[in-house]
Amino acid sequence: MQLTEEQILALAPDESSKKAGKDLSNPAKWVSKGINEQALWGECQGSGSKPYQTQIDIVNIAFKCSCPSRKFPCKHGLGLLLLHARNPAAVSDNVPPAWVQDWLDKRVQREEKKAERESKPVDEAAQAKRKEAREQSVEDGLEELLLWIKDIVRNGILTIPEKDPSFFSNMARRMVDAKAPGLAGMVKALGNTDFYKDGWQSPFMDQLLRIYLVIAGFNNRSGLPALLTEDIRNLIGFTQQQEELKMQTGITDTWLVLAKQITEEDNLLTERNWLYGTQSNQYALVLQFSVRGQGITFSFSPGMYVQAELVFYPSAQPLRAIIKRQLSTNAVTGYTPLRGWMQVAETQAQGYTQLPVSSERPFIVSQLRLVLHAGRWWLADAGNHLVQLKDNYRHFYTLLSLSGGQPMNMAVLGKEHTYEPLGVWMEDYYLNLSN
Amino acid sequence: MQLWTDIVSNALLGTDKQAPVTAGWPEDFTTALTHINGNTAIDKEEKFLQLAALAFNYRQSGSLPLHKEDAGIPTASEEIRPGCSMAAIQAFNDVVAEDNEGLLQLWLECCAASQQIAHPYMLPALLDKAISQKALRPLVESCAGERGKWLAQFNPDWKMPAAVSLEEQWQTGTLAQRKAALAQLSETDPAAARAWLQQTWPQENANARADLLSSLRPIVFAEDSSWLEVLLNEKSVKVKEVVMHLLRMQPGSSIVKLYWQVAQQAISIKKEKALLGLSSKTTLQVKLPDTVDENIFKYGIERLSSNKKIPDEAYIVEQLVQAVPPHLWENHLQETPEKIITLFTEHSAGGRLYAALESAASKFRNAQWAKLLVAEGNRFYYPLVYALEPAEREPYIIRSLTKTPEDVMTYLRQEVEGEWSLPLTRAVLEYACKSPYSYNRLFFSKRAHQLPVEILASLDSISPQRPEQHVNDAWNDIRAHIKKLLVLKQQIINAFQ
Repeated sequence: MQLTEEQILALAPDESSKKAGKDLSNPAKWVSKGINEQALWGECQGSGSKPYQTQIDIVNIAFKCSCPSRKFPCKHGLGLLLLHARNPAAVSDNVPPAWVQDWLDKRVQREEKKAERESKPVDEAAQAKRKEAREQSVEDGLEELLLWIKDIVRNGILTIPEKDPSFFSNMARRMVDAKAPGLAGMVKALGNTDFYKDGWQSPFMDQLLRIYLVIAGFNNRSGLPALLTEDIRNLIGFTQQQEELKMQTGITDTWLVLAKQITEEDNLLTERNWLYGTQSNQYALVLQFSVRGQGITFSFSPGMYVQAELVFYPSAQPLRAIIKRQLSTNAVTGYTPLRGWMQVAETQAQGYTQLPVSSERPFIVSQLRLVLHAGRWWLADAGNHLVQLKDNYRHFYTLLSLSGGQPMNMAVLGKEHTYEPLGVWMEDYYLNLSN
Repeated sequence: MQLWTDIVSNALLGTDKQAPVTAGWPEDFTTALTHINGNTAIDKEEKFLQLAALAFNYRQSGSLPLHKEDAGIPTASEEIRPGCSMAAIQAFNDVVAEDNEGLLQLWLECCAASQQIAHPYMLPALLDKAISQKALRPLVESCAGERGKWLAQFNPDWKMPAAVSLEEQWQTGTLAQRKAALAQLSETDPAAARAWLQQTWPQENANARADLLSSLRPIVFAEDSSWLEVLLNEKSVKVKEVVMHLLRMQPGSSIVKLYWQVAQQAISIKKEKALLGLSSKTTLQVKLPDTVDENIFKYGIERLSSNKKIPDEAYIVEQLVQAVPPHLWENHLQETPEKIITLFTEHSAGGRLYAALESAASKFRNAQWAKLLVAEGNRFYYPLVYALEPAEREPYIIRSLTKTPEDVMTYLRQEVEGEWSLPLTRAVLEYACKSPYSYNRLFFSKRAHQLPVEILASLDSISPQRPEQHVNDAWNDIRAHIKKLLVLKQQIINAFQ
């Protein structure tokens, strides 16, 4: 296990868990502790009479603890990981006690049962009927949405900032009713345009046209390439059965976690994990959703290397993926950066020919440096090509300080003229600068 | 891109008001434009949306980075000192997470003392701390190294003052900077500090004079107070008050001599016969002379008592005793200090006269008298600590913890900045553990840097041993917190060894 202290702390669900986890990294807090090639375990003396039993699957980074906390991972899991990272010699026992072995066995059994469930036959007729009804509902919804868009362009967008928020939220609700949750999100994002910012018209039109392209794509789906149709369906909100995806062969690689971005809305926590395949040179976005701390299957931390098989959602420009299998987390490997912004622009242009509604994508670019030009900050490559640094980039001063004005290899996320750094390499060490 | 600007302009007005303008679009669009415009199956809104979608993808696909040869920023200079270790970075992160100012200061002191610098990753957090805690600025500047100086120029809030000498600060700085420079110099070279102030005195206005003079401690004029005597003729009341305050602290000043003239007339010894003339008894006579030099009232002695129970005359004598060096009584009364203290104590106004002697001993830093007074006294009078010999200070504080613990705790809270000794820490913890709701986690968080790490070894043996379980539980929680802080402190110390 090669997690650094910083990476372990990045797994924490909140600041108080980080603090409590640090407190529990003291060996004196642990009645027993041990590690083998599969798991790390320990018994922590809490306020109760019996110590809490904490166990961590170090292959798949999964946690279990007998404490009553709803947080995931709990402070005991974090504390035990930190204790091991700070002082590996303090964790010497390597024979797992019965409670650890039971948990590991149960995890294997659960996987087997899941596979068994997946192999059960489905009622295809009923499934086809449901699919047809859904498509009809979506088509009706899209028709309504197109009318709404046409109203906007007919009347002009000049007065849009004066509209009541319900103008957007009502349409988003209509899309949810029409079983097009993806489009509902896009309409919501349209309403969230920063109307106080100069030049709001351009990003507003960008988003409006993305919605239009999705509608047009769906209405003309019979003439589109199969993969692009899949993209359009995904954008509308048709779900892809993960079990079906997992049946396919994925890309097995050592993936570097470039960033973990967490957003929360209506109690739903969305984790956007940006991964980079060190051998395949492929980027991936692994989404995980959690409600009240429950539902996160994989614990990622930026800078961590994950040996895993990833299956990509069918797409003209594959990016979103699921983890089919996680093998181990011990490898640390190199990466192949792009030479500069011109190469990024070429790659982006290539992508837009396949998928015009593509959103921001990650890239690793070599030797970028921060420069000041025309009163704002830019990222310049070795050939003096510049793109703008995203406004209000949270880690700006840390990035500036780390660079000292010198170029650094950098992972960035963005499109067109604006990019946000996700992390930088300091010698061979990847330092997370996102979220 | 003109084509996109046209689309946005069209969108602003709406298709009802203006048909899309595509006149200047590149030739590559001819086929697409013909196809869209010629499509009779779609309305004008959809035609606009198709044109706009075309322009949108054209713009994003053709987006190129800006090319600028001369854009850049100066790079940071090479560091002269080595960077701190990973363990030090770790300790810093823990201190910041703990939000402990004292330990942060300790970290910076250790870093500066070991001639190391902070890692660039830490600098933004460190420079931010220097904004909110101005006292840390010099240490932060020292630990930030060349990278820190370079980084600070990009954030106006972090701007570091250029390295200027004390004299430059004195000559050209703001009043606050000049005060700080003068005070700093006076600590090492009082004569030079006096000379600086004397040189610029005629050019200063009354407020600046009062401010600058008040930044100097009385000890600065211990060797030579002649200039202060001249300043007694200043016109400004504000300046005069500061001058009088400083002169009252100089044993040889004209004001103290004036006080003594009256004080020695007011207090004398009278021998009385006792036990039918078989023995004699010495008592203290306290009475102001019939005519008192009015100048004492001009120079700070108050004429009227504000307390109805204390007569005006007694109040004046009390002030005079406070205002003169205590050793003067030895010659005047021809008695030893021990006897004089006894005589003062036995007098009807004994309590107040004793307190006045304590005040005088501390004001004139008389170690011999201070030692006798702390031995006899029932209260903890913290100014006496500074008058005592260093070796006698701590026993007095620890002893007082059993008599007047809250006074000692207040003194420790407000007056002591450095690390406490092990015996003092133990004594304080033994007292504090009995009141865990007053001396809580916050109290110890603020004093983590003052607790010696050696106390860790015996911390478990300190317990309130009270019947109320909640008190024991609260202390256990605080003790765990103290342990955590001390482990962190140890981490900092080890990281720089």
